[in-house]
Amino acid sequence: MEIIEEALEYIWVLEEQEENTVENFLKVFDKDILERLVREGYIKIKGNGEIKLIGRGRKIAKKIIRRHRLAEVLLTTVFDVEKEASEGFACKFEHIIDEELTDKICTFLGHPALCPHGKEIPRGECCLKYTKEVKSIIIPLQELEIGKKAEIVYTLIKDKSLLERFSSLGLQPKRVVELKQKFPSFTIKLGSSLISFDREVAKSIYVKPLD
Amino acid sequence: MAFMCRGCGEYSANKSGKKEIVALVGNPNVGKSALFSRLTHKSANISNYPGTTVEIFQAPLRFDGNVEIIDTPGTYSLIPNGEDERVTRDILLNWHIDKVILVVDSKNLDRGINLAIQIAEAGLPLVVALNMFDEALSKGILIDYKKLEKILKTKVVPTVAIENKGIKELYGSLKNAKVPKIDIKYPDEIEKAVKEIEHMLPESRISRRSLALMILSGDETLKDYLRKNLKEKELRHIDEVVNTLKRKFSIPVGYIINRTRQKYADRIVSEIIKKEEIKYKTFLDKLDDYIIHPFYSLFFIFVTILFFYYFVGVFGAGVLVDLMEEKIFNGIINPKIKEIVYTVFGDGIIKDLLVGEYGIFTMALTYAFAIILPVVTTFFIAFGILEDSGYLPRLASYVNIVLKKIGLSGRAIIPLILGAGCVTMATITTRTLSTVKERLIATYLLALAIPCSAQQGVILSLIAGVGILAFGIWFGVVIIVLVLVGYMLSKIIKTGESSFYIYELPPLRVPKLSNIIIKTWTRLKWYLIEAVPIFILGTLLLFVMDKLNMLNTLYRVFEPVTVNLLGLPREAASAFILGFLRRDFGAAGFFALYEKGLLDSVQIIVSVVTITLFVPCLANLLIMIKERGVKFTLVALITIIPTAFIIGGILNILLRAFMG
Repeated sequence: MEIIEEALEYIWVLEEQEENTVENFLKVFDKDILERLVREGYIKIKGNGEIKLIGRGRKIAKKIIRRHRLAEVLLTTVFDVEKEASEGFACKFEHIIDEELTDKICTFLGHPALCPHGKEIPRGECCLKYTKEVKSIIIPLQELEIGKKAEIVYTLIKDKSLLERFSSLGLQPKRVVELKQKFPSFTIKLGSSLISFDREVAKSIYVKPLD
Repeated sequence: MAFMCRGCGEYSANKSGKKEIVALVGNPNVGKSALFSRLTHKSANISNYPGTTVEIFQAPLRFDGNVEIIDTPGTYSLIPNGEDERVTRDILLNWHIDKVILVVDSKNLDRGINLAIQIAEAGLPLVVALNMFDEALSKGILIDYKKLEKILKTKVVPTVAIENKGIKELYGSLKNAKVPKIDIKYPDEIEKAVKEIEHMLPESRISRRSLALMILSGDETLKDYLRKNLKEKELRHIDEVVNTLKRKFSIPVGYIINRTRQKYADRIVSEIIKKEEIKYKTFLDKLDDYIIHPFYSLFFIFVTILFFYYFVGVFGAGVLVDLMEEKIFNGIINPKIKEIVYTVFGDGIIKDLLVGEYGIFTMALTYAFAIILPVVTTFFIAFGILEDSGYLPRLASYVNIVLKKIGLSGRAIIPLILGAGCVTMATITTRTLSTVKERLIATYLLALAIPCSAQQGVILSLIAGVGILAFGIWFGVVIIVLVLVGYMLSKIIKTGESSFYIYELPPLRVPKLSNIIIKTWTRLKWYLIEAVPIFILGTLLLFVMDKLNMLNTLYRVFEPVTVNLLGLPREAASAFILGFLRRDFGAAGFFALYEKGLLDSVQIIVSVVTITLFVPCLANLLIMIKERGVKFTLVALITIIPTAFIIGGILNILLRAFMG
């Protein structure tokens, strides 16, 4: 079963990169796995050699990807494992943890949207409900109280120029910020400077509140 | 060169290297311009917010004429993020810079050191000015700058530019400028890629390694430069290396490079800094909490507007204009000149030209010196105080939400507010906006609805005659038009996205009297040089038209608009003609009508709203063409004129209905 999960996971990644062709798939997996996937109704192969996840194939791939990427976030942000090393652990992790634990980890991390490598984490039921039964220690900056200090744990930014602006302003993991205001604009204090930004930017900053 | 500027011409003449060229480089708002005016005799425009310098200034060093100092726009990185940052990188790349003075905000040492690392990698000798050293001390930040000297192996000088402290020492240290010893190892893949392309790169003032790192960071702005200097084959090879490297990382390579530098900088900072936690909040800190507060900030906006109304409108335009116009010009100067002209030239055309109804003395110079000068002086003082307090960017982040609705990010309010000083200069600063869409919208709104300082002055003086309600109507209508038109434009202009908004707020400061005086004086000088000749020109135009009996024809032609639509006297046509030349001149034309008793309250309000929205001045049109192109300018022009008249017309009907 594990090999099926790995194969579906790989197709998901190929789809994300829009490289989901039979040719690419066969670079990593054997032909009989491809045939088995088709036979058991996980995937469909189009005439132009494009592979598409279907039905339960897509469902399983989504789950695995979600576990894998959540595991990466957990390892890099909470346990400070180097990003490169996190990959290996996450590969094992994804096959062990069950649905319930996955949702708990997701909640604990504050329902992150992207993995440390900047790829999207598929949403789970917990994210939709956004329940706060498990008190998360990492929260989006938006949820921090005004006047409280917090450490930046990670930022989820896809836009290249915004990412550059962030790093040049020193908005990086481990830096401590104080939230000064949420409306109309977000204003935070970093060191001795004040930085102001809008909700869209605030959404992508995740912090660990300090007392 | 893409950017021409005052002083560039002389520069190309001494490329031979007779003079030493020193560039002031630093993050935004660290006091480069303040330092520039201390090091040279030239006063650059200094304000307490990032992005004041968009053009390059150059002047000889005060202490040694053989050294030229260049002031550059602030930048966070040598990999440009926006047009203004690109200017600085291009200077370092293309000009033959001998040395760099790196200006660092002592309160934000890590960012400054990050830039120091980049300049060191570029292989340029530098000295470090630890500016605002006093502010850092008061925040409990103690910097062991001697140790920093040892780490960087070059000179480090604490300065307080605005108080002229440390300037001599800084100048003295220049001869000992060295390239700091920085040896950063980037991740192996990046180092390998650097090795692979380094040897192909062209010889320039900055090192090949540094250039290679810029290219690998995905710096698109370098493409033109490379195309000029490299062969097709080499270009393709470089592209290949860049793309291969890109695929190896899931986050941008530029980010990884910057993170590596930042870690290096952080390590240096942790070695030289000693921080004392300061428990108490200063008065300004407490004030700041209120200024950025969603509710209390309205109070500050209100106070600012009232301050302008009373200081510029009531005091400047009322008290001072009365004094200048009634007592000095009409009381003393003009009668004397009339007498002299009469005795020298007798009665005739020369007398009319000099002291007649459209006379150079009685109209052009009286307008310029008696009406507009006092008004702009008070305006420049008030605006200078506002600029130096650090309040403007806070206002920007407050109104960000509204601006977003009209397709602009909060960053765009800086040009809009600068437009209240001079629309032409503000149009140039729209370069700092990150998307084409924002630049187009901001340029259009500046041309349509932002009155420049001189015009506001005259408008305020007209309005002050009616009362604060009239002020409210004018202000309200202009703001509504601004928002509505902006909203419509954001729907029409499809190119480019609305960008995210992130902005560093400068510290709140008590404005320094000396800087306000210098700034006001520089602006007044510029105003007199620019405005007076155009005033004389406009007066001559009216004089000639009057003599040829064309004014009457003109009045008649414009009657459907001036009289029927706007409900103004027919003479208003001449004010609109003057408005084509300069915004304030047009307003001054109305002021003259008002003084003759030709305008009632409703007519005053209608005329100030119309003239505010009416075409921008000649200088601004030229800059618009330069910055945004002929097509855009033409479209703007032919849409702005009817907009102004239609809104004036509607206002006329409404006011007549409600006020009788």
